[in-house]
Amino acid sequence: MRRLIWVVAPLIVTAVIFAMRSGVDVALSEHKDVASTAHNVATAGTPVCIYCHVPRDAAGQLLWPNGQPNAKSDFAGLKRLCFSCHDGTVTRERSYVFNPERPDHVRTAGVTGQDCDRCHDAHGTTNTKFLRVTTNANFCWNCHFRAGPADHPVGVDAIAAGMHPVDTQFNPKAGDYSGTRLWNEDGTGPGNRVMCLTCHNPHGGQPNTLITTVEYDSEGGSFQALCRSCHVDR
Amino acid sequence: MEKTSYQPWDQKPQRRRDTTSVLGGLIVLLIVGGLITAVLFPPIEGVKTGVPVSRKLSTLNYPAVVTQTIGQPVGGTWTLPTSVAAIGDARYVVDTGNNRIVELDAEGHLAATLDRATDSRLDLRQPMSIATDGRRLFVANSLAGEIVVLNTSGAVDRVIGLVAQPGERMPRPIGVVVAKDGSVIVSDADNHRVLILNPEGERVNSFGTGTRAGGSGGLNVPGGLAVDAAGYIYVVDTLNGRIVKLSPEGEFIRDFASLADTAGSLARPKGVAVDGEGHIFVSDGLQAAIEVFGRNGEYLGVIGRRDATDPRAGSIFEAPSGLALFGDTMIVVDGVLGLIALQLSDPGANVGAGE
Repeated sequence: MRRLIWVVAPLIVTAVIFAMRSGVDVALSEHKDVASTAHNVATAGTPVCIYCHVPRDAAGQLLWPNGQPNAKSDFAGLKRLCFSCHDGTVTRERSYVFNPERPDHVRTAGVTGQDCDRCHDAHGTTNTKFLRVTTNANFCWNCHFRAGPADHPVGVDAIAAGMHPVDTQFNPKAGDYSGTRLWNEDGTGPGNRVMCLTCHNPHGGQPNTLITTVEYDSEGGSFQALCRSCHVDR
Repeated sequence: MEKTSYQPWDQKPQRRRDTTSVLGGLIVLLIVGGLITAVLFPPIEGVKTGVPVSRKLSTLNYPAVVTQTIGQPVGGTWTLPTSVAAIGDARYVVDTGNNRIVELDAEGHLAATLDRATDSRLDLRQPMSIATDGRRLFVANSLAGEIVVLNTSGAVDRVIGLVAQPGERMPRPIGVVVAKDGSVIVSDADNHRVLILNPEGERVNSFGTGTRAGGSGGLNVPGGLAVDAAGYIYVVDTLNGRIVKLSPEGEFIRDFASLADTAGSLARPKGVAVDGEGHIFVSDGLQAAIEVFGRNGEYLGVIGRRDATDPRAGSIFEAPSGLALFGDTMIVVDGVLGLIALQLSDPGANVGAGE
C-alpha cells in the first residue's frame, strides 16, 4: 500500500498543479478571443496579450495597464495605454481617442469599469468599436435610461418637422467636432432623426459642456446655440 | 482467530515516522511536480523581440536637466504636436491636431504657421513627422500617403507620393528622415516597411515583410527614424518594442531592447534620435520616459522618470513622441505638455535627471 502511494502521489500532485495552471489558461481563454479582433497586433507565435499587458521582468509585479506614471494627471489610467496606439501610429485615428482640448465622457482613471472600459471592452465584444453596449446613436440609453423622449427630442424626424440642422455630417475623426448630426431610424448611419449622438459626443465634446457638439453661449452659459443648430428661426 | 492485543501508546513512534515520511514525501513531490510544471508550462515573460540589453546599469538616471518648456507657442496654439525639426534657430513643429506646421523662434514665439494659407498644395492630413536636409522640410503626411517637401516659407517644393506595390495597402508614412546623401527614409506603418527613396523620391529599397513580423527581416509598425553620422538607420519597431539598426542601404545590422516596461526595455517606443557620439535616445509613450542606449545597444539610463527602476513612478513627461538633438540639447515633443528642452550631460558627470 505504501509503495502504491509513492506511485500515485506524484501523479496526483502533478495533476493538481497542472489543473491549477490550466485554470489560468482557461480563465484567459474565457476572457474573450482577442486574437479574432482588431486588437490582435501580434506577430506570428507571439501571445496577443503582451502588447497591452506589457510584461515586466520582476515576478509578481502588476502588468500594464495597472501601473501608471503620473497617475493623478488627466492622462492617467487606461487613457495612456489606449493613446499609445490610438495616436496615429499603430492606428489611423488620433485625436478622436484623446484630445486635451476636447473633453470626453466622464471617467475615473485607473478604476476598473469606470475608465475607458466603462464603454469599451478591449478584449472584444459582439458590437462594433469594442463597445460594451449596442452600437447605435442612442447607445447612451444603456446607462442614461432617464434621458428619453420625455425631455429630449430623441427619435424626432428633424427634416419632416421642418427643422434645418446645421452641419449634419460633422466628423470628429477628421478634426471636425462641431455641429449636429442626424441619424437613420436604426441610429447606425446618416438620416433624418435626432438621437443622442446628434448633440453629444462622448469623444470630444465642446469644453465646459455636457460633451455637447456645439458650444454653450458665451453669455449665461446656456445651450441655446445648440438648439439653434436646428431651430434656426428661433 | 486470536485477537491481538495492543496498547495505543505502543503505536505512537511508528505513526510519527509515518507522518513525517508522508509529509516529507509530499513536499518533495510538490517541488518535483512544480519543477516539471514550470518546465512544461513556463510563465509568460517579456517577449524577446530584440536583443536584451544589459540591466547592470538599470538604476541609472541619464544626466539631463530641463532648460525650457513650451506648453503652447507664445502667440499661437497647437494640438497634440508630434515632431520637431530645426533649421538654424527656427524650430518647425508638427501641429498634428491642426494639420499644420508651426514655426517657432528660439524663445518659443510663434513665427509662422505653414498650412494651406501659405501654399494651397500644403494639404496636410494628420502629419506625423518632420525632418530636414538643412534647407528644406520633409513632412510625413500620413493620411495622404505622401511626403511633402517644402521650403521654410511654407511653399511646397514637391510632393513625393508613396505608391503601393502589388499586394500592399495604401502607404501610411508616420516617420521620415533624410540621409546625408539626400536619400529619404520613410516608415510605412500600414505595410510594416521602411522605404528607402533616392533623392528623386523613387523607391530603391525597403525593409520589412509587408506584414506584422519580427526577427531580422520584419517590423511591427515602424515609427520614428534617425540616421547617425555614418549613415546607419535606426528604426523604432513600435509593437516589437525594439530598435532596429539598418545599413544605409537598408540591410539588417542588429536590434536591441525588447518589449517590456523595465528600464532598458521599451513598452511603446515612439521617437528616436542619435547624437554625435552614437548615443541613441528613444522616447517611450507608455513608460513616459526617454531611454538611452550606447552605440552597440547597451543600456545607459533613463531620462524623465523619477525612479528609473519603477515604471509606475512619476515622470516629467506625459506622452513623449518626437525627439530632436541639437548639440547637447535634446527637444522632446510631448503631445500633452508641448516642447521640452533638456540639457544633456556626460553620463559620468552625474548631474541628475529630470527637473
